Amino acid sequence: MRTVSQLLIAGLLAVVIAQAEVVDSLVAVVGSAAIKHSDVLRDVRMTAFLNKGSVKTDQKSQEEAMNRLIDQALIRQEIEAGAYELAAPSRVEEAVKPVQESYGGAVAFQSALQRYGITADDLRAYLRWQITVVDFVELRFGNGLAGDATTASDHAPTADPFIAWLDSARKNQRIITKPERLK
Amino acid sequence: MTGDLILVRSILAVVGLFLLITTVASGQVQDFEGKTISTVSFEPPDQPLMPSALAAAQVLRSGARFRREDAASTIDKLFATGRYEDIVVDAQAAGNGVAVRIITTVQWFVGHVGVKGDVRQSPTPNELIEATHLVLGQPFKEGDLAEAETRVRRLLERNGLYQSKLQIETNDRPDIQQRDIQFVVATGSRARYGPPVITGDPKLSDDTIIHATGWRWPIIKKWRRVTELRTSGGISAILGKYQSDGRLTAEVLTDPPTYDPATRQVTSVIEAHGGPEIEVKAVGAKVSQRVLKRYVPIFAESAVNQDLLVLGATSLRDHFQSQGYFQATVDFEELPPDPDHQVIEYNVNLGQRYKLVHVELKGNKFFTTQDLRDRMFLLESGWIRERHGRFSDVFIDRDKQSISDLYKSNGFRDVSVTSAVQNDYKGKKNDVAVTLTVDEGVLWTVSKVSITGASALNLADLTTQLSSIEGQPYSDTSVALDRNLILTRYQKEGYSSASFQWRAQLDLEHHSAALEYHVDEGRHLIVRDVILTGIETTSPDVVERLMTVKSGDPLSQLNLSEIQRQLYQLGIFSRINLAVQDPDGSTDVKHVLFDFQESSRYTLAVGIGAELARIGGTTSDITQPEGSAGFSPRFSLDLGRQNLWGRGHAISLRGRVSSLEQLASFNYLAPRFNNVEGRNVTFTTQYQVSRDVRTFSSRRQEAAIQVSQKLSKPSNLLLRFAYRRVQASQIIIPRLLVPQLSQPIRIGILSGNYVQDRRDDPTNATRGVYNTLDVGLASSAFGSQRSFARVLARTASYHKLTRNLVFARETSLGAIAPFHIPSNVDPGDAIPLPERFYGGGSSSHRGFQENQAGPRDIGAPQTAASPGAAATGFPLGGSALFVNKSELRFPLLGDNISGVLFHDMGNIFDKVSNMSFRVHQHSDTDFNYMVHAVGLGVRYRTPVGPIRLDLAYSINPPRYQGFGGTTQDLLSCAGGSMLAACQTQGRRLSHIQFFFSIGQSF
Repeated sequence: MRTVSQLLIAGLLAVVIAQAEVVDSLVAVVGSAAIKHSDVLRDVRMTAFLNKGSVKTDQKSQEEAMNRLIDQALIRQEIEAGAYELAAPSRVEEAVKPVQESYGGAVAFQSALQRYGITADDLRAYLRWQITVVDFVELRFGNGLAGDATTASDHAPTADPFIAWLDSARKNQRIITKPERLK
Repeated sequence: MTGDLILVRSILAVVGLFLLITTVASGQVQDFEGKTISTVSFEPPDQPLMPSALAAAQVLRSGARFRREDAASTIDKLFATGRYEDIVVDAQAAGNGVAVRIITTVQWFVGHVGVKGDVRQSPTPNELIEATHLVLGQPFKEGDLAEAETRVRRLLERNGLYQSKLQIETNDRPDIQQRDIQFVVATGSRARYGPPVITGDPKLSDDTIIHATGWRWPIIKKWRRVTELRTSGGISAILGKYQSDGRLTAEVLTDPPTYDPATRQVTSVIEAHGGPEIEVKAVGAKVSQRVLKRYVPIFAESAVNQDLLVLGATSLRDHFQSQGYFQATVDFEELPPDPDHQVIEYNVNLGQRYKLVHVELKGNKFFTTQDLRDRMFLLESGWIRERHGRFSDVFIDRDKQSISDLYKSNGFRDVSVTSAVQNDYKGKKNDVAVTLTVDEGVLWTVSKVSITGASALNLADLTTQLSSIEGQPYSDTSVALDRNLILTRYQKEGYSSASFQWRAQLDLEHHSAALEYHVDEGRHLIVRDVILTGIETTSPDVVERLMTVKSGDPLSQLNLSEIQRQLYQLGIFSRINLAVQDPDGSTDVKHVLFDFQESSRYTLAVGIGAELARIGGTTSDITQPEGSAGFSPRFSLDLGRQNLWGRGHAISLRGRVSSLEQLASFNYLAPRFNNVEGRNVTFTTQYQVSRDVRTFSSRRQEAAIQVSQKLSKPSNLLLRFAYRRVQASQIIIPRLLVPQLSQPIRIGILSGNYVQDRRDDPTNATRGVYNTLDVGLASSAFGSQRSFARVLARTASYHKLTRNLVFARETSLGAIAPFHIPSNVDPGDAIPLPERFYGGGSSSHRGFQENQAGPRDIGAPQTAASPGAAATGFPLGGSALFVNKSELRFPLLGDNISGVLFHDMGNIFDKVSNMSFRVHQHSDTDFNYMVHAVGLGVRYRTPVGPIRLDLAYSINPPRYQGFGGTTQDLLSCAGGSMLAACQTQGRRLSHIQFFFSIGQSF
């Protein structure tokens, strides 16, 4: 009988130990653009870094991040189709400076980046995209977005032509999401 | 019992431990970062990508250190190929390392979309397929089928097919990730319209609106069956009714109708708002409503707004300017509206009427004045057309621009064109002259051309074909041509995203430019495989032999389109969709898809018509050899079977019945014979009785085989062997009632026909040539009872003398030479009547009516061997032909009516040696002379060619002897009877001939 128990325990241990961990996966598809779980987590960390807040990886926070990334994918497709220009690197460097200063200098800044699990290149890419989106909105819709350009879905005034366009783009584009993977 | 208890306890302990371990394990995220990857596996192991593409997309590799960002990158790259719908990367510890697994779900793509069932019209199968919005080669997403089904159902309902049953069948082809979709439709009975509910402010009675829709049969008042076309046509007809009442702002709206299954009728709600009656009038000049409707677009657009009214004023002004009122001004005013009546008044100030009498070009050296005039709108006043010339400020600007563009495109970058208008030209009041002065400037040339960026393709051979080469004029147009040349080369080689940039370094001192062309070659796409779908009855090899693209070839849209064109030319497909599967995917090796919709295999055409022609010369009436105007009804029936045995071959049965012709024929067509483009083989058998020639009826039974080969775009060669039995029956001339001509004769003839067609427009040529040569040999070697050689050559050319004046000419020359004449046959009768040349008519010599040219019956003297016969004057045809036609074609009225002055000369001669250019007829038995005719004609342009009316005056029509009695009289006159009825009468063919037909004479 003891042998049976030992065998059972060994088998179950083997199953548990052999259980594979999902490293990364698709969590949303916007037309031909893919959004991965790692993209969502990076966005969560980046947002937290810029807000100097804590990294919230609960499902709700991740779903919010995923929706931001979906909006960005729609905007990116429009920017590519319209051949809008990406922000120049010099403008990105200008945008990095105040962030760096807000952390009290280069050393603290680097340390914060490490703490939030992001790299300086991630930040530059993120800021470049933000500036590009602001440019796009101004050029296309004639008004700027106050504050964070990448959180379009958070903007309340649906009368805003940009928001109206975004709503329309969401309806017209086939978007597949897998929120169950945001755990 | 104790043992059992221990067992239960043990199990509970194990389960508890398992739950504990699982909880702990799931709460932890194992850190594989930096560990060595022991294995990388795919789930499922068979992946859709080719091994090389899979390796390129896979960043995670065995033996490398595991990094999460590599996993992310692998997902990105795999997804970018377009071949995956979902990707998950997981990992688990394996010894000291980590085993990585890439779990994929493949993406499906839309394949063949077809329709089965009783769907033919309203909607057609193609309309149903279009309604699905399923696009060949595009990713197939979840929900696509449901959306397609909804759209198809809506389309069926819009066509009244509410009781239709729809099934969707799919067939997956995992090897190419393609999903073929078949819509199986049972349409059921079609609903009928019911009385519509009319709301709004229609200003028309319900009956009027219902009548306008056409949804109910008039008189019998039965509601018609619903079709989408009829529904939209009905709404348009209501709008048309409003428009005819002058209510141009009327609105008619309708929602989807409601269907009552009990009555199987639909009820539409028509919301109609008549709006005010719009009256448009002109003051200051007399302008008809027809002109206002033509130039004020509110009538055509059924809308009244400021833009359209302004456009109307501009168009009216241009109209008046084209009438010679060069300073005309037009504006408009909307008078205060009445709720039901609105007046729009165009105020016209015509000013003086001018005439543009002179247009002069100065300073042009590089281009001739004629070259420039051909591009100009300004036109001096003419005798018949444009009696005041064509002039306006807009035209001057337009001409200056077009001249300037012409110079710039030829290297004169600094050209300038100025204009000067001179009133009261040469002192004559209201005559206007325009002078355009061209300052050509300096000719810029190309000093050097260099091409960079072209590494994959060798463009050396292209450099000689470039428009911009050293020493040649430098212009944007030349660069654009070079751009097209280079990009076309790239596209043919599979570089569909190749792009071209250029810049020029200008040398201001030497007026030259050094051109630098840069090519960004982009991706090189390769054909992975060619997938054919939708082929059901057609033999695959019929299609495959045209598939010159194969796996591994460059994916060139140009080449594929050419294949598609050739496939369409087979005539057996109603639709051929061409697509690249997963066009946006990052892989460079792609499936090419051809999806076919086969045409209906059976065709039936029934025709009823009539022919107005000179009909006469029957056995009961021999008094009118020229015939007299008559009416002949005509019926036709064509039955065709396409794509026979799936080989693309076709058979057809044709029947024609009229009082002039009875025809039954069977045709077998083998297109693209032996897979040679432009080579067709046709086998024909036919039975024909025709009476084109008044003298006799021709009965012809024929079997023929012919091979046609397109040699080049303008050239065609046709080889034909025909074996026929011809018989002249119902011969009305006693002299011909001899066995040699009235007995059936078998003719075996081998002939060749060459056609060269370089006309700019076959229906109404203004330039080019059209030549044909027809050579035939009938010989006993081919089983022929008569031996003769036959040649007929025609050459036509068309010359544009000025912008509006075309000179056209055509010369025909033919000869038939008999040989090996049987001993019992008179040499003059060696050629059977139906095989001879006949001439005269609208497309031949217009000095004669149809087939009235040439030798005529002159009777036969009484001899010991023959009782003789009186002359009847009926045409007999001849062995030689010469006709020369010349035409001067010119515009007459507006753009659609033109005129022709023509001269025709020629005749049919009894033999080649008797051909003559003399113009005098020696006697009324002499027909071997040249008949001349002059005339004029009017042409009215239509989409199918000009409608033609020709009036010809024959200067020297032939005199001949005719017979005034009956056939019985004629027969009883044999033997030299001196009865009064036997006396022939001297006659002459009419000087005046007229013709009405479609198409130019040649």
